Amino acid sequence: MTTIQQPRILGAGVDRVDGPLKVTGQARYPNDVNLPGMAYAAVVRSTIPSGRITRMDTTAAEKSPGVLEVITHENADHLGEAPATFIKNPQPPLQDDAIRFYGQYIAVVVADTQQNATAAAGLIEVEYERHEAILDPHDPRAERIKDPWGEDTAWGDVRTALNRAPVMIDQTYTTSENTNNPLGLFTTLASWDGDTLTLHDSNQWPNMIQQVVAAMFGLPRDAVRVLTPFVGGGFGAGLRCWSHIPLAVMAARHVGRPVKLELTRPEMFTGLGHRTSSINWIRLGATRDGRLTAIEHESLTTLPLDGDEYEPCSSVSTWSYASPNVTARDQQVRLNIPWTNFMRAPGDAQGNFALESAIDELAWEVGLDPLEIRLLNYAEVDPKTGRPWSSNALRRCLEVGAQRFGWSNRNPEIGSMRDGHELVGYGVAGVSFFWYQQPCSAKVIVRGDGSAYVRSAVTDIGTGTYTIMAQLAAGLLGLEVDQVEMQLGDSSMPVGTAAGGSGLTAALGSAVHDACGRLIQKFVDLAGTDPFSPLANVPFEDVAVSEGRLFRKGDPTRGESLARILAVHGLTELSADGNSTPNSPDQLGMTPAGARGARFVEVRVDEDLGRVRVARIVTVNDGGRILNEKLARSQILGGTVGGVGMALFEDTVTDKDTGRIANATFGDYLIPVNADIPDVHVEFVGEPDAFNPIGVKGIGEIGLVGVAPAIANGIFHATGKRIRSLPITMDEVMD
Amino acid sequence: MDFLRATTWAEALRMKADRPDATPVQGGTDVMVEINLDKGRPKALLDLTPVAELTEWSVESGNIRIGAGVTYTRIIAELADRLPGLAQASRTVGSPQIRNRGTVAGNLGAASPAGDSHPPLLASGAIVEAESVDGTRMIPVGDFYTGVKRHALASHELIRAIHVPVKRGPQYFSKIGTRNAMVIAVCSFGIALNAEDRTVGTGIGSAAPTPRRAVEAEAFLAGNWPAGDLDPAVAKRFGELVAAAAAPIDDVRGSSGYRVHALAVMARRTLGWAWQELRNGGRS
Ligand SMILES: Cc1cc2nc3c(=O)[nH]c(=O)nc-3n(C[C@H](O)[C@H](O)[C@H](O)COP(=O)(O)OP(=O)(O)OC[C@H]3O[C@@H](n4cnc5c(N)ncnc54)[C@H](O)[C@@H]3O)c2cc1C
Repeated sequence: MTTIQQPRILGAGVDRVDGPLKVTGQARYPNDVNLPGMAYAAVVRSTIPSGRITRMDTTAAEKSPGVLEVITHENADHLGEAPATFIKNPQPPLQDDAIRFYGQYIAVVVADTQQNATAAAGLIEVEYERHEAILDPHDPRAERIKDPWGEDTAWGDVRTALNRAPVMIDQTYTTSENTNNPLGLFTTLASWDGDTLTLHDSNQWPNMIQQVVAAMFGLPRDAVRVLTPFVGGGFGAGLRCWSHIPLAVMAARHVGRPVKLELTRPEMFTGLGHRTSSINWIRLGATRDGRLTAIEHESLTTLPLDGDEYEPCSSVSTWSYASPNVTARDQQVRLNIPWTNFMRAPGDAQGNFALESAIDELAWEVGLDPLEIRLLNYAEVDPKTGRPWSSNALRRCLEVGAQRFGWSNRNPEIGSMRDGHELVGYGVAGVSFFWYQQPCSAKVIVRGDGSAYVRSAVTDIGTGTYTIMAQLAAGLLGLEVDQVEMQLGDSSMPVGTAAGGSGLTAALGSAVHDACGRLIQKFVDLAGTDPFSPLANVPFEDVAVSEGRLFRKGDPTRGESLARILAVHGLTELSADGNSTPNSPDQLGMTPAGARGARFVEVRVDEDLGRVRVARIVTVNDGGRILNEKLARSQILGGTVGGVGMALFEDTVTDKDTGRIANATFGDYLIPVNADIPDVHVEFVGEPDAFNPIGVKGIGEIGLVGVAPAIANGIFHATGKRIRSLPITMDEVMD
Repeated sequence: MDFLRATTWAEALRMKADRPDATPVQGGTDVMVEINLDKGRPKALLDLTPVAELTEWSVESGNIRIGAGVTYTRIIAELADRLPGLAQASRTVGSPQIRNRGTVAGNLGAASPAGDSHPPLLASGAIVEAESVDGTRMIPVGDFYTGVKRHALASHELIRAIHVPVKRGPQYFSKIGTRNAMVIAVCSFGIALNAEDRTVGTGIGSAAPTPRRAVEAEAFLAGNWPAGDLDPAVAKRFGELVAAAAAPIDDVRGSSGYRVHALAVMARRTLGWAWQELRNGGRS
């Protein structure tokens, strides 16, 4: 019964269940929570990128109105090491006088009001011993890390294949630093009660915050409770335990009151990491008719002095196209910069821009339609192992997208499609997104009235987890969606994984699936102990669920409601725990495929001014089974907007001399506004994926990927100008 | 920081005379942002929003006298027929929220070279009415801008109103930004043709330390007042002269080379639109 019978590929577009709470202001985000006796913290950040603090004068700050405490490295608590979770977490702040980047926290001020804390923070005087900072990825003094994750990949003989290739593309593609910029300002409200600690905190993984904070403060894990029922977006920014969190905890311990630390927008730029810039070197070898014989992709990305980051840009080249010879290598370089970190589609966003631009260049080189060349080199099976994919509807994405877009109306000649002083260009890009899943657990409980709730210590970062998990459990238990409540955002719930890597829906959904199966089993077993039950001798395999009832397959009259079974046995509720771990590709004999997609973009370039307007976008995606069509569409739309931002606007600018991020406000760091976003047509294709029991593939990130190369490829079609660096500026287009 | 709130214009002038260090606040869309970003702390704020007379406009001898408290939204809604250049520029300012609060007086007070009202004010020959307890000064807008974010007001003076001549021919404004809305101009250009006198007004934004006119371009076009079709050579030369009047810098929004190039294009295009309107007998 628990396998989904005849799953529809598109789940009902149920409105998000948290919508009314959010629009009426009842959803309490971490910064909305206030506690009695709460004090406020403000941070002080370094104004040099490298060196040592030689003197700090906090006298004026301490005397400032309302100030309760000033903490610097001189009086900070000694904290324990921050454990690595999936990746490293920043080591505890204020433990020494070393400065590793501009914007590093060097003090925290606690006062009775936010205003008093902020005012006093400005009164702290700091003197430094400056050391020379390394800020340029090409600086020969910078530490380089080769093959940082042991994932460099090679098969065949790329060197020979490139030497022999009749056609070759050899180009460098670069992308700029971008900042996640979730709208909600990250906040930690720390409150101690004896030796137990409660945190209201903005993050994407409460159990990770719990684990790291417990280790730093020498507490058992159970003594730390992290509450994140709502978070104002993340885009990856909440996947590590950033330094403001232990600062708030330490501050609360010092003043013996709850302390709220809400970051400001400029602090969000330095305090939560950002997408690394990337340099991608790509060499493609091909036959004259456009068949790939070799792909070589190398990337260089950046790291802070003391952090790590998993961001392979080259790996897209190992699974996107069929090629007998492939090399993919990544390097990282350490700089005196704020932490680089996951941002929506880390690595793939940059690597795909490079690869899909290069494939486009190859199409022009051999005189093939850019759509054709992608179909010609289609990866029918995993090119690395030869195994079948767990599902892969990229071909369908490309075909359906081309049709919706009207690709056949394209005049292949450069600059041939004009409208007044605008040159019109059509661009396409394919997307093969990475696959990622981690273990997760959940508990499902049916109450005496037949309604149910599901619990897991995960977060809904706005993606719709509350809604789709209620839908999924309702389907598996035979209930209506409004009879099921998803509870999440509390580290004391069953251990949950991160809302990251587009992996939560598969991980949590599989755990919910497991729990629902076990729970139905329990109901069937219970019914079996009741000789009067219509289900008394019906084996589990023969039981179906619908409308709150269990019944014999094919004979709906022979059944009993969940509520009645509980009543008969004098139970107020019945629950079951569920777990999921990713399946093994070896056992299943298939390669798990992440989501797939195709982007078709019409750009219009003002030929005199170089202004690029995106006129329309068609984005078709294969996300396996889509649990909620409306929310999935919203994810793709939001991702598309992010993709336009990456292509045309977003650029975190670091001052070359000081290492200061020079545009850390929404006035200066440009993201798209409504007027920049055209009609976006979103469509889903594909089949339920075979790698997990619920058939889903995460779609939280893929929407962003491929938009930038499709725009750049469109600009080439319009103008004949090949732009190989992001963001694309008017100066470059005119140049 | 002291907070002064004037309820009448006379009171405002007295307060400013007593506290020349007070920063006037109209819509606050520049002042509050600067304070929020901690770019200096004014000793005092002088709130002008309760002063009712500032929120009115009137017609005075061929000019519209726009009170310092009249918002962009109202200029767009109430004055677009008579001051089309200024109304077009107003439409490009920020977002609806900003246009509901922001004022031309505030734009002048901020005196940013990128302020969007400056090119149409220059092109149409506007006059700033400055007032203090000592009396009133009428400052031609071209003399108002004295440096980057600096202006000709004395420390005890306030802007009472801006006098903008009612259109006497086509007026156009063009702005280039790095995105389609909510954006500071990379550069901007305003043109106003006076069909009766056959004179030309221009204004360049964001391409020099201050907003400025392209005087030679104005004289050239007046001397070559097009008869019949616009001669492409005239349009081209006009664009070159506008570009030559600029003295831009490189910054994050654009290079100086791009700005010079774009100004020439915008000058040609706005002239084309203006000329088309002239030929259509005043219809755009
Ligand atoms: C999100 C955002 C977007 C924006 N977009 C644009 C844009 O697209 N184009 C643009 O040009 N500007 C833009 N601005 C800047 C601002 O909105 C404009 O400059 C606006 O015209 C300021 O008017 P205000 O009434 O709000 O001025 P205020 O902020 O009140 O004042 C601005 C300056 O003028 C002084 N001042 C105000 N009134 C007087 C007076 N009566 N006498 C003397 N001095 C006075 C103030 O002391 C201050 O120095 C934007 C601002 C924001 C926050």
